[in-house]
Amino acid sequence: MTTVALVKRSAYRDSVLLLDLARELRALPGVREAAALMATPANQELLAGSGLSSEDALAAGPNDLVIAIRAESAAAADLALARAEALVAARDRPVGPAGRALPRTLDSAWRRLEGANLALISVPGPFAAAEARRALLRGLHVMLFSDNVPVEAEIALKQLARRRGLLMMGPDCGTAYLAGVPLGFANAVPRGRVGLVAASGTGLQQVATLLADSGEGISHGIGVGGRDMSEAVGGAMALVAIDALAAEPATEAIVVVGKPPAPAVRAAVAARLRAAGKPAVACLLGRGARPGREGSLTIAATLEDAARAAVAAVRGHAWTPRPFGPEITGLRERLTSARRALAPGQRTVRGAYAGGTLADEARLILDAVRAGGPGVTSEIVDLGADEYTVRRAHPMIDPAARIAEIGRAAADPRTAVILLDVVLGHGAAADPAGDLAPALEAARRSARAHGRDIALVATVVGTDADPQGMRRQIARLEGAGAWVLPSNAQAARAAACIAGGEPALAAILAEAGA
Amino acid sequence: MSVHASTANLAWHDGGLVTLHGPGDLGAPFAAAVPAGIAARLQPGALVERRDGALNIGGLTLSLRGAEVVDAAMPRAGAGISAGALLAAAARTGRSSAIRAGLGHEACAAVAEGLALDDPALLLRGARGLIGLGPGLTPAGDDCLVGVLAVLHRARPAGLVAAPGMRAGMAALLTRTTAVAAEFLRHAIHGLFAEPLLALATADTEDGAHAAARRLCRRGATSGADTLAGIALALAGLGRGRDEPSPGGMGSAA
Repeated sequence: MTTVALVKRSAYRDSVLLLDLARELRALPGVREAAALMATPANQELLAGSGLSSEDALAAGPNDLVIAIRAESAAAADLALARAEALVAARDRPVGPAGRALPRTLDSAWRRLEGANLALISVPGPFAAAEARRALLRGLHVMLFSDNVPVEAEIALKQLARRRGLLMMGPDCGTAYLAGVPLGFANAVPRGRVGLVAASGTGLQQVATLLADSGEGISHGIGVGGRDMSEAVGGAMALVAIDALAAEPATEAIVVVGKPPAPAVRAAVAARLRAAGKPAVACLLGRGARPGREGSLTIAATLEDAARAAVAAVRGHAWTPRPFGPEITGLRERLTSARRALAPGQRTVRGAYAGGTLADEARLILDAVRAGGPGVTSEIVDLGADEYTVRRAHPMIDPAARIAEIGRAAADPRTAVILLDVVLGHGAAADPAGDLAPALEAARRSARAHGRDIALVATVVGTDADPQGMRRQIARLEGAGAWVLPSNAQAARAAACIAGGEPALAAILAEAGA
Repeated sequence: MSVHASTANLAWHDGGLVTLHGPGDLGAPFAAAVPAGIAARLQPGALVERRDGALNIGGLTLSLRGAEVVDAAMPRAGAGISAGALLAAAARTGRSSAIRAGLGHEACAAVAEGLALDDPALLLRGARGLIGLGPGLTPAGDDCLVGVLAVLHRARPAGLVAAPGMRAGMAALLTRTTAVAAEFLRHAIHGLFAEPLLALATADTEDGAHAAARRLCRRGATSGADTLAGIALALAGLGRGRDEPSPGGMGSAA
């Protein structure tokens, strides 16, 4: 029997990797026992107790990694040592799914992947512009996930991209689909004939998933970044994206989604859409956005209506704005029942959102209801906004901030409704509804313990093809007592009606033109 | 300085460590959260200078101005959830621990006995057996001991952890483990802990505790689960000392 040790001075590997490594060594022919540990005195005793102690191992210190092997022969021990050395070296390098070491720079990735035409860049803001410029100079389209990039740098990057005929998506571009490839936070949606241009991630996700629910897919979804339609940036990339989709044969209709643009940019975007030679839809959320038609351009006031207008356009159907929930069975009864369970003083809708555009849309709908006079108040918080994500992961990944917000909402005796979005797809949490459901159940228990009730209203942005499964997520929320509606706009309207009762419903139907 | 996939440990001038990691809760009471990707850009061996409110590390400058300062001190028990609820929340994570599986069971028994009998010598004997024991850069035994110390600082800050010779006795054992684990223990002895552990110990609802336990388990490959094992060990020991069938409220164990 031979005992040998490989000592790596001042080295460390993840403990799970070390356990796997020891297991792999134990499976080698002729190896009786193996361990991989930091050489602390306590672990030296463990090694001795397992018959794995050796001169080399004993000479190692607490900050040294020791891989100890006991084998039936010197030859088997040597083979195992060589294998251990190779395994440790392999784990020094980040490795991709194909087993190759991952590139560490943009240039090495570019050299390795012949024919690549896009770089997805997600590095800290101070470094992002330089990396994006490097990619553009190599002829690569860019999706820039990073935020905190100065607006001057954004303008310069977009000018460079235009000169080179490239897309510069972002900064702060969270979602895109190019030729069926999802990038960033993206749902599993089919390819199809609607092209999307979006300043925001969750706006694009909502429209893409509602299109999928209607049986339509998207040709491309081009994110341009939240500042693109500002006066400073002038819609530089939105206009390029519209032109690209106008020229692309697979795209039969174009949808532009975003927050209110600068007036000059709104006019330029509308003119470009009217000149695209294809049906187009614009949903630029903002107060006073009235649905209607301007030639081939349809103006939609909600993301759901934008999706429905696009479906009508590619199918050659007429489109009218959607009144609230005509197909929801027993809508009025459900609203009345939920309102009846509340005390007269419960008139506030508390929104705890992960999606910024979805929060904006809910806020606009609730503000419009309040303007109608039924006494509803609302507090909609976008927990994905920068001020809430300092030192925290985004709420689409980490539920902690939303759980805390739900707790605060439940403790407020004015709260009538807790309103939520649950965003599924690649990049989002593995079980977002499961993460939130216990907090929702606790919110109702807490309210009831204080002699009142609380209504839970949610929407799920996703598809059944998403990793989390749309139906499973809806079932989890419904199991926690939530009313799950098919779009964010409908969820916000339902919340307003529960908080405001019949007068709110009348205001919403008037607003929707029904 | 050592550099790992997502963290970098800076050797500080006072002999301690400063860990840099990405955005999120502080994973150590001696850590700083910096923008994602910074740690991986650093090179081992780079000189670290602190000047004009900034850290300069091998040409990379990190401004400290405007940085949020986090209090890593474990507050004395208040109106937190009961120990039973805390244990239930920890158990629901379902994560395995080498300590729970029996590694160092004699040392664990000595720790539990020391807590039950309020005996500093027994606690130190158990600590000696745990320190540096098991897999990981912070070996499982050290993580477990951090959990034990968290409970003691939360529930009985004037008890065993303040006993004469306890801090010096613990400090003398720190050469028996890795530099990073020793730094965690050095802080834990003085009542300073990582944010996920503070969040768990101070959770005021069962759901909050469960969420905090899950976040704690995401720290390191096995460290979070081993820390939870230490919390369970300490609560069981303190509960036995009060001759109760189950440990009382963490908030009322003082």
